[in-house]
Amino acid sequence: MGTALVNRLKHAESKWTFIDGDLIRDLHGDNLGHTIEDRAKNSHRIRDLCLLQDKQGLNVVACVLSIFPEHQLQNRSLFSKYVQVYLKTSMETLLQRDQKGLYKKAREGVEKNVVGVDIKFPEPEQSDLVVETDKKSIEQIADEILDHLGLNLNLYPYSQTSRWTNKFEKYQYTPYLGSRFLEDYQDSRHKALQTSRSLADSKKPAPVQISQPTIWELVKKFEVQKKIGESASDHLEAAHCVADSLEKTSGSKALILFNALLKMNDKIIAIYADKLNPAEQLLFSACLKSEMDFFRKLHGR
Amino acid sequence: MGDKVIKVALLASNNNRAKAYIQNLAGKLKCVDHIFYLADPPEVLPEQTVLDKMSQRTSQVATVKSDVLGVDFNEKEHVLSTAKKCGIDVTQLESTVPNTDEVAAAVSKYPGQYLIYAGPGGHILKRSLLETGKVFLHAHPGWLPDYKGSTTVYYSLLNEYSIGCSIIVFAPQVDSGPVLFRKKTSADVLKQLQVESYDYHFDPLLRTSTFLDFFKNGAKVKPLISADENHQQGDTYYIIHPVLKHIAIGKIQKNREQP
Repeated sequence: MGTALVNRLKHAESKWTFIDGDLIRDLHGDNLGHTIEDRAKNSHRIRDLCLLQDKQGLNVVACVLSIFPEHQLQNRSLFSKYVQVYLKTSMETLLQRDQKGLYKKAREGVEKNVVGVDIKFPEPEQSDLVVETDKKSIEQIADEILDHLGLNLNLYPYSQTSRWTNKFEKYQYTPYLGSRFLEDYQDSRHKALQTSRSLADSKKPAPVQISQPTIWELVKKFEVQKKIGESASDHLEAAHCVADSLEKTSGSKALILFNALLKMNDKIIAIYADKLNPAEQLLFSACLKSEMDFFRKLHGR
Repeated sequence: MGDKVIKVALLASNNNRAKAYIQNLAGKLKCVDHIFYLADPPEVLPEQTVLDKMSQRTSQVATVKSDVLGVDFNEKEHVLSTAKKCGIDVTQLESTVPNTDEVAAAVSKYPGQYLIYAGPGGHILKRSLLETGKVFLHAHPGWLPDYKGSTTVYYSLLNEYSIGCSIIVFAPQVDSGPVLFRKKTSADVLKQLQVESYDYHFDPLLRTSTFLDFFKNGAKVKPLISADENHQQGDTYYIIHPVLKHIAIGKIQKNREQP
């Protein structure tokens, strides 16, 4: 759960790190047992490491099986900001999951000092958020937590992906951020389309004549080299060729063209959008329109 | 190449694909007899190196599994831990990437003929390695020859709501070697997994499951589809744009909600 959350938080403005209670045990050479006294010592170790990171301006997701209400209370005064999220899970679900076989061993009497079996689990009383996890997916839980934190990462600006084409050699994988990502993409493209239309003159762009083998060479060149020439007009011409072919292509080959067109349009928005003359704006608005028409056909909305 | 069952070596680093391969191919099928282990790249943070060293002795378990594919692996178990458990010899390399003289020299000395690549992603095996006389096997996550190239899982999902994987012999042209084995299944197999897992968990599960089936079916190295046919037919796909990827994943989410 912690890992999933931190992976989403990678796209937040501030820096997030992840601390796992079990890993802290390993870090110290696994020199503590699971008695209440040893658990208290481990709890302090976790707190101290989190404090160190807090003082350096880092945000920390600490995943802990906490059985000390007094520690939880202390944390509120120690940290610059402290948010306690209680992931509430029924014993039935814990027994079903039992990844390490711990509960099974505890019930058989093989393992001792297991919270929930021979150590009482005091439910956290003053949590900022309680999430019932039994019937929820990791993604749903992450969504709830991020909503509570006020981090609307689904407004991960699509234009930021476009900026990345400038910085990185490979087109970056985007972690799945939910259906709102697609809504934000559409909003950003609508905005770009309105801008380019308002800046264009009224002449229609000339139709493009290009043979099929050449369009695939063009796509391959762009996908491999991440560019077509050095100028806005080189990229625009290429995007327009691809957009034109896309309108006449169906099936698996259409997906290849659409993929290339998305990237070409990203690049044009990121690098050239404010440098296009009116005729180029018109050409670009045609490329955007082709892209969005295909998107609607594919996505069904 | 004729009909014969084979043993393999892995050319690997400590990534999820290598973990899934070694735990299943060595742990369960016992068809791995050597590991060529690539060193951590310099951009791996010192903290990560410490964590990796710790994970060599940790008893933590984080099982990644797919009941439909019938395969699982423990994400926390270091490749070298598994090698030690299974009594597999390891050649520790200084190279962090596969296409070096050191790797070619080490691999040339391997008495067996077949290797599986499970090193860092984004590396295409070059002629120097392919000309050592060894046969490099690879699980390509796409039904060949139809789905060549990158991120083919998502394109296959979009085109036909299916997932495929093919065992091929590495050739200089990407994904164009002879195809030895392949399988295809409905994308419903993805419904069980969390979305965050598709790239880091599902991909190794799919490739491992296909290798397992390949070995269980006798690991026949006679091609189903020749290199020429594979090269000339089908389409080549490029790294999928985030928007297309989200549409693809949305299809699974939509089907997940249906009974």
